Amino acid sequence: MIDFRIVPTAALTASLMLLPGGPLVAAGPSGEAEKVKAEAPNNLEQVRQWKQEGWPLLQTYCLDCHNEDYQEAELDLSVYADIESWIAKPEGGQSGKRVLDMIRFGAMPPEDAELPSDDERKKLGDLLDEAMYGLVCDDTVRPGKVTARRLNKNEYNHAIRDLFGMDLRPADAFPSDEVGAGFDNNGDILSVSPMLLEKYLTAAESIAQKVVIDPDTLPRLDVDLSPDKLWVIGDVRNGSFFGRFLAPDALTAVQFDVPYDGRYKLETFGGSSVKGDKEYRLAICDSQGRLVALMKHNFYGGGGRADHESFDLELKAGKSSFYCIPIEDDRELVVGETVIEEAQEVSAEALAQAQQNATEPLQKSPKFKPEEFPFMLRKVILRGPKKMPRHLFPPSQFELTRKMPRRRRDRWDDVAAAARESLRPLMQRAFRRPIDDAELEPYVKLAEDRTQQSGDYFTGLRSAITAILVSPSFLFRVEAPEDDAPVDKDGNYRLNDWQMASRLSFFLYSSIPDERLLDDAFKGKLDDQRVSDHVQRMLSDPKSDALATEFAEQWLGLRNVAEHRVDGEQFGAFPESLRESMVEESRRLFLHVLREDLPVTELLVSDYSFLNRELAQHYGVDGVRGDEFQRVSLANTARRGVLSHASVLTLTSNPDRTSPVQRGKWILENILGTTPPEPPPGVPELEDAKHDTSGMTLRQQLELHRADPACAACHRVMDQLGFGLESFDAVGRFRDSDGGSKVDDSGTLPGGRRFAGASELASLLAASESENFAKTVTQRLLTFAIGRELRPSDRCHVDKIVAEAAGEGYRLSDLVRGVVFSPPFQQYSP
Amino acid sequence: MNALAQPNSMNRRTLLRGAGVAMALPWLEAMSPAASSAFASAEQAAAPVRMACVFFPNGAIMPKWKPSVDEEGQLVLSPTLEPLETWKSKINVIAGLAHDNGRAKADGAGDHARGGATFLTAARPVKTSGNIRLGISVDQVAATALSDQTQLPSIELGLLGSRNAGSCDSGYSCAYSSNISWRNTTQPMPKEIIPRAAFERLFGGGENKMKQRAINASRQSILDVVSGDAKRLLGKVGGADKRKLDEYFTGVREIERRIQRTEQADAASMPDLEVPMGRPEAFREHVRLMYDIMTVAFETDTTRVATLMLDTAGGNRRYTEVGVKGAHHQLSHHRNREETVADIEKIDRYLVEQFAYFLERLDQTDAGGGRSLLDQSMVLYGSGLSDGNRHRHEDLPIVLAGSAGGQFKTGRYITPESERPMANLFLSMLDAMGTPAESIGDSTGRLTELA
Repeated sequence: MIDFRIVPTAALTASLMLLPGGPLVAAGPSGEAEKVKAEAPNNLEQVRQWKQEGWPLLQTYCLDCHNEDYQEAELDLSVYADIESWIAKPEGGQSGKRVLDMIRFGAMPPEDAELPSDDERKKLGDLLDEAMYGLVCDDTVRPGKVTARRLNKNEYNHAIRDLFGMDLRPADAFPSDEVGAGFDNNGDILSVSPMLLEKYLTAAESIAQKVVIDPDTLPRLDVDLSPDKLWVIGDVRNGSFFGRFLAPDALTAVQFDVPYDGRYKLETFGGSSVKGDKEYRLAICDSQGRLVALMKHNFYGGGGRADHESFDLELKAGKSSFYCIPIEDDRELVVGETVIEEAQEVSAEALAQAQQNATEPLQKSPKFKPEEFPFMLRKVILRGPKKMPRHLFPPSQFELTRKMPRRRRDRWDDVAAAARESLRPLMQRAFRRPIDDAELEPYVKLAEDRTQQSGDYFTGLRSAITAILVSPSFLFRVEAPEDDAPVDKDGNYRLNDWQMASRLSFFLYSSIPDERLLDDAFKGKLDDQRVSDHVQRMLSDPKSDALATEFAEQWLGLRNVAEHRVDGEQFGAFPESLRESMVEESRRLFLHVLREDLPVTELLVSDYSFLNRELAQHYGVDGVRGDEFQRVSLANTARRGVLSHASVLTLTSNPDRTSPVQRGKWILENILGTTPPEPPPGVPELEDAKHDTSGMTLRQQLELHRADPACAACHRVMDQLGFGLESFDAVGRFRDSDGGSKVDDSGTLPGGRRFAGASELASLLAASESENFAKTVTQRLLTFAIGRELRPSDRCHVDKIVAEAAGEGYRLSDLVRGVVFSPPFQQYSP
Repeated sequence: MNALAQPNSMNRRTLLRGAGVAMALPWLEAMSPAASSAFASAEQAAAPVRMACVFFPNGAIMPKWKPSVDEEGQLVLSPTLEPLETWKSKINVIAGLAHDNGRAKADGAGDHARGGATFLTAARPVKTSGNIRLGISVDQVAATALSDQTQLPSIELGLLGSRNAGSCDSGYSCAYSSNISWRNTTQPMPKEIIPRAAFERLFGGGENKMKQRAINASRQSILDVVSGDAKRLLGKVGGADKRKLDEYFTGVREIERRIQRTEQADAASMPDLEVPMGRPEAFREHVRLMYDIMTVAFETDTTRVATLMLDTAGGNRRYTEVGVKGAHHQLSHHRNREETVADIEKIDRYLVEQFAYFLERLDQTDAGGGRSLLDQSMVLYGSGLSDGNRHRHEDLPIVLAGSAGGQFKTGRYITPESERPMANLFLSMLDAMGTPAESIGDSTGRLTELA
């Protein structure tokens, strides 16, 4: 069976095989390497030790196969004799990390070679590590420098949402962002291609169109009811010009579709039929008969003329019906109070008949006596509303038009003053810093010029908004010291208040700072206490869900679930909704642990989760209804923490079966923070070997695979971890048999730590690997927060954050806070 | 209306909207480079050459790829390349080319990432998930040199966006697997994957001339303002920050150049190509639309340089439409199992069939002077791996179609005596583009066998 003999003892205790610095990347290529070197001049002692004790060990165990003349895997280790000059080379840094990984992991030398003792292996690894990355975590602070970052797609979308209050998602049309150091917010990787700049411009133009509109362009009600559209109830004659001459007891009804609540103008055209007759009052009442408007009409004027009156009235959205009733007597009429009895007496049948009549073409009546039809109504018009209701405008409208220039037809006066007032606040929020006049003026001038050219202030304003959104100050997060910025004793700058505000909000919100944060920054009030208060406040704001969608999704690889495909014959439909639910479960747990101030290990051992109906069904858990996610106890199931989330189980599986190797690798990388060394060149992926071993269980195949000494060292660890999750199939459903055989989900971790099943595996990891896990999370958080690959010197910062969080059991929120207060987050070297 | 519904219908032809079909020819003449390019030298203007490079992942089944030569020295196509039969006299199949920088050496696994990264750069990708470093690609050498000749220096197309999680292949940043076109050592050129968006980038959204002029005027004044901002910023930063702002400036300049060109010459009217909104579901429809777009981009001389990635390096697309159930990359590790090899052969041939469609489109299009657009082009088709099963980086499957305006003798199977750097082919291609370079990647000279 499998022999664990060569697993280094060092790895048997606190950690698997993972030592500080393992996952930290070696000095990058070219310039980066020198920078690190220059930063770490104090490891002469470590280099001396390497030469005295480390190099002889390497010679003894490794040089037989990796020397100048015989370079197995094209690797010559003789260069490590002179380690300083080798490591200073770009390829040296890369190679050194790999060599270190192989030694530490126990992957090299192979089992059939002469093997170092466990102590020797640990010593070799430590000495090489120290010689390469060694620097004392002393008082000198080395915060590093973050390359100017452009907003990535999600940050862009969020920024637009927060600037204008509209979730327009313009960046969805941008090309995908490349990922660096595991995240899509890496300054070195994110670049601006000409195509992207074109898209920025087009997006900005389209955003500007949507965030502020010219009220005059909004559709208004303007209904002109001509004589044939009037519903006349009672005796009527139609004049030569189709005026409706009403008999004394006749009245008219009209109906309008009112689009929104507001103040409208009702106009009536008509008058008394006989010249010199007294003034008529035309009562306008609603369908209940209540007087809503009162018109006074004199003689209509003869021929096609009409006396014209108007009245403003408040209307509610919906169908509005009115009666227009000529009043001959001199009763008291009070708008809003008087009820007109004549209106109440209209029967439904009469009204319906009148409505029916209005569908017929109007015929001119034979000659009639005007005195018998004393009032003529020609038409009724409803216009409005006078002021468009707020909800018709984009949320940013009033902010952006807080001051409007005076308008005389196509001429606009005082454009600059108005633009200045509207643009400055927008620019400050978009650029995340105070704007001086010199910077503001070109934008004001642009608005002015474009207004003049187009004869439209809104066009001018939109041009300026477009320019703001295409400015590098919006698109990039550039952190440059101000002219008078002081340098501290270690030669570093501290972020100023608004740079700090940006870092904070892009970390927690993946967006621009909100107003409270920016206000404090502008007032210079962002001291440690305030920063801490803001962190607290922001973490409870739903916008910090971004830590789940941007950080956790990438850390845990959850974005791969969306594109994952499964074998339909075995697993049936695998709808997008299910995939999305899977990822949402993991996001929810992450946010729960974060916001409830729970230890990170809760992510591994939680015996509850957040499910909706679809996912609960998938898990075979009863009693969950609806699409809303809710907390569900899983205490009586085998599921514990993220390791048994369908998202993780699926993304680490092949389409047609589980892959203990991938699952083990996932745990190593994402929980324990170590990347297994790559397989030696030419080794087929295990997955491909399966056809040659038909008839064996997957576990047997894997064990066969590990019989090869070249593979054994790494797979022993990976596969054992993966076996623990074997009771979940390739889409994360519980199973107790696989292809007819009973599932064996037991395993042994280095040091003889045995476990049976996912739940025991999770507890084991949480109990014995909590520090490692906290370190991994911190490294990932810091990488995400500062947008650059971590460097050897960052190890000091990570260790400190983790050590400080140890007291409370490594609460996730403490790690987030620790990152915020770490030097790489708050300072930068020039 | 929907081109999806009728993949082969005649409405895919490039007609001329507005002016009407009868006006097609005069318009084309007007659009010929002599008229549209004020800067081109007379010689170039007479015969601009176009360059297209098409990448497919995971290598090919080489025994079925390699053609042969009969007693008379005539090219005899292989089963995989057989769909190119009609254009046999207009292509060269080239053997013996290698990307040495694709080989593992001390970098270990990650052959797919290296295969994609080297394909057009011949440079060695630095193994990193963060600080990417590669080299300029052959298409971008040409595009940079020709940037003042056409509306757009180049277009980069693909069928799949970049993967956005972690490293894509054994510690290599996804940027290496997802991009074949690199503007310089650190900047990959992202691909447009939505045909409609690619089309509108080339030809606009169909605005009339007045409107376009107004848009241009507005854009120019906006760019003036933001350039001022960028200059101010540039004065405050150094190092890597400067590089990022330089990228920004380059973009601004390119848009400005484009605006000026539209103002000077008649802007390319919109070719009457039906391009549906959104991303087509079916592979065949998607890829043919992209080939259509490349064709009309060349035809209207909107650009002379185009690249297309049929899939990400190491891509795992399923080609169920040709009866293959497995996923491409998984299958490519066929371990010489007959069925799996047969599946890969089907995929290889299917992809060549789509390429044949591109050649057909190009060859149907008149480029003036009695030449078709295909004659006037050089179209590279190939993969960064040969044997996908064993991840070989030599003897790559390469077709170079078109004679670059008569500069290449075609209809041949070119078999150099010994392995040659693929980069040497790039240098020869750049010569033929009229944009010669001294070296690229690991080049050691020209591919003399091509001339």
